[in-house]
Amino acid sequence: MTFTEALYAAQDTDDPSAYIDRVKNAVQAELEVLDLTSMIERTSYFNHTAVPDFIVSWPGESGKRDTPRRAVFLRHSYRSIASEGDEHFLGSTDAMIMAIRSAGKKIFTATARGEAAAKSRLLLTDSEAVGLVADQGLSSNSGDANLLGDLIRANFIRGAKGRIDRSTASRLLDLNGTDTLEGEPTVTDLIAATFSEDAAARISRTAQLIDIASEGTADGNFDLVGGQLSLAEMRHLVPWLLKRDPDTIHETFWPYAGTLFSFKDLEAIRDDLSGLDLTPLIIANADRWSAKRAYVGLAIEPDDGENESARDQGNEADEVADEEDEGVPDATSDVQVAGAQRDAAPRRWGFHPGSLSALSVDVGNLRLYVAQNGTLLKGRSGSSSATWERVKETMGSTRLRRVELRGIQSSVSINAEQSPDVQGQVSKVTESFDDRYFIDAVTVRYRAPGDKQGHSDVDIKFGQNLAIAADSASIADITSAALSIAEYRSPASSEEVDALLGRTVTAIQAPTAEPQSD
Amino acid sequence: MPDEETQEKGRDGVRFTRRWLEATTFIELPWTAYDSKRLCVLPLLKAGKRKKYDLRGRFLHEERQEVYVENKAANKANNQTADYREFLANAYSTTAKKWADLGGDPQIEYIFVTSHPFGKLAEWSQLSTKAVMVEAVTQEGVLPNDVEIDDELAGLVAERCWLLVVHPKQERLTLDQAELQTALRALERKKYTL
Repeated sequence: MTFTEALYAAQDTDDPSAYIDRVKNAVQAELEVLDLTSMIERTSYFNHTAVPDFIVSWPGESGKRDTPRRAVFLRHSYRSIASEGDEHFLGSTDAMIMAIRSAGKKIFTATARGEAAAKSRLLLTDSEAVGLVADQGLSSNSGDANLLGDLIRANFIRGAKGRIDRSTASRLLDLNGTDTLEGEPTVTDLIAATFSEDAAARISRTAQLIDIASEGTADGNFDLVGGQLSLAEMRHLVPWLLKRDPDTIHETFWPYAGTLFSFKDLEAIRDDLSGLDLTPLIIANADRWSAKRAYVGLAIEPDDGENESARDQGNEADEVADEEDEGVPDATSDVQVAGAQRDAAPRRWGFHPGSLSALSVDVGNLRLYVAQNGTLLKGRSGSSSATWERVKETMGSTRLRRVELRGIQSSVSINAEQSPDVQGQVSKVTESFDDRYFIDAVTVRYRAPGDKQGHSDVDIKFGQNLAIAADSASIADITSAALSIAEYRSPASSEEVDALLGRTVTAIQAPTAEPQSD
Repeated sequence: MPDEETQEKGRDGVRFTRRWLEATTFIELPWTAYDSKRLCVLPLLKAGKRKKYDLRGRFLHEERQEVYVENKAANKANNQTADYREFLANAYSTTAKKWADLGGDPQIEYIFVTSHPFGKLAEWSQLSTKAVMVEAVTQEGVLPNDVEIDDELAGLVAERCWLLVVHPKQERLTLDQAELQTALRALERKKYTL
């Protein structure tokens, strides 16, 4: 059933309450199809002169101080829009007015548009036009998507303006391919006339981005309209790019893409990226993007019914402290086998289906999860502790900030403020007292991610197999912290971590971890 | 005046009245005879007869009574005295019919809005009395042959009939869209129905 048909059926009642409920249900469903990132709030008014029927908002976008909103007014027809004087009374707003029936639009085509109307962000449209734009999304799921058409759909509620009836909507959706904007002023003009300045810029920018993705630029300088991509745009652009043959994406593109959105934004659209190989995007931005948490579990393929880490289910062996070096739990033996298989394992970063929806990558039969949104990774509920001897071996050149030693008779806390040489101090304590010390957690320090100044402290909780950044650490550093330190029983080598992050040998020689000495 | 022009003028008048009444914050009128004819008609007592109103909606007081509006966009008295008498008779007829159909009081309110006064100003306070209602029902012949007028009902419906005269300049004394939205948000007129 088309949107127009659904509305027609919804109006077939003599009960005013049923009429309003049914029409609003149909409209809300269609608005949701148009823009999955929007939140649609229904008011308790219908066809009111001043109160909208819906308030659409776009919460949770990074870099936005105020949540973007748009009021949606329903009117019975274009004729009622004209007689209500909505263009006059709502002309100074950016409301969207939708005629439930498309009849009467002749009134508008016969009316000359003034300068004030051209500047207005008001959108006048009808159910036929909205249905046509929404169907663009449905049809694009089945085949090779018309990305520009998809973007017009994604931006429609948020940014469309002017008068968009069925014929104008058709013309917009007929825009095709990646090269249509270049050298075709009529297309640019049409987008400029029917979308707000920022939405038109986003659509034009995406067309440019598609060009850059395939061609790149010689000097890496992109003359692109600035600003970050909205989640709605990302939902279309990122999967579309990731599905393309990697050979068709220019090598300079993925690092550039990392400046247009954050890892947090990427997590927000993870449902749209499920199963896709994100490796080129992640390794290009592992030093720039920040993450809050990393967790190491055992990778179990979904063919056993449950794609959950054995550790998530509470492995008894992990509940016991590995008191002696020679008393290695069985689980560790498994991990050592896994370590031997690591080189052969595919290293694909992605949002894989399973119990944990965080970004993950397999290393042998270990699976590393990385998240900026802390609720995606809570770690296992374990209470095991490591011995200092085991942890010490994993530290390498990583700068240690704080260690809590828990003994049977006494506990000692050593941090960098007390002693610059934390490692030396810990060794001194563990050797000089007649006690057996375990470590629940350590804090290590890395450089702040991207271009940020300062440092980033990461807490490693051995009981939970978690690395948690106090503020945020780069994906590269938190990966290293999790695989090389938190996974202290079978730590990954720096070469393995570098391979995971797509670093060349040259890059290995310049680690991001701050050196041990001050 | 050509029919189309008359119709446009009528439509403008209905639009003006809807905007004005909704801006009082006490009323909502989502249905107009131009867009939703089916929802703007009420059956009359005489079998098969129906009355079409210009606007239909509800009061936003706690009782949320239904309201039907008859609008007259007039620039002179014309034959509004007769129109108003018919309005009263139809109010009685539609309430009586609904009462019979529902088996209870439909509690409908009726508003006659005009842009020009009519009749004798000296009789203004008498225009919505029970006596005028009884007279209108009798004169307009809205009762089927075997039905007598119900005096008590005539009194009740008369109390539910409103006569409002509005001047075009009222638009300048009306809250605009943004003010009205702010006011309605603060007033929570619909909280009893949420």
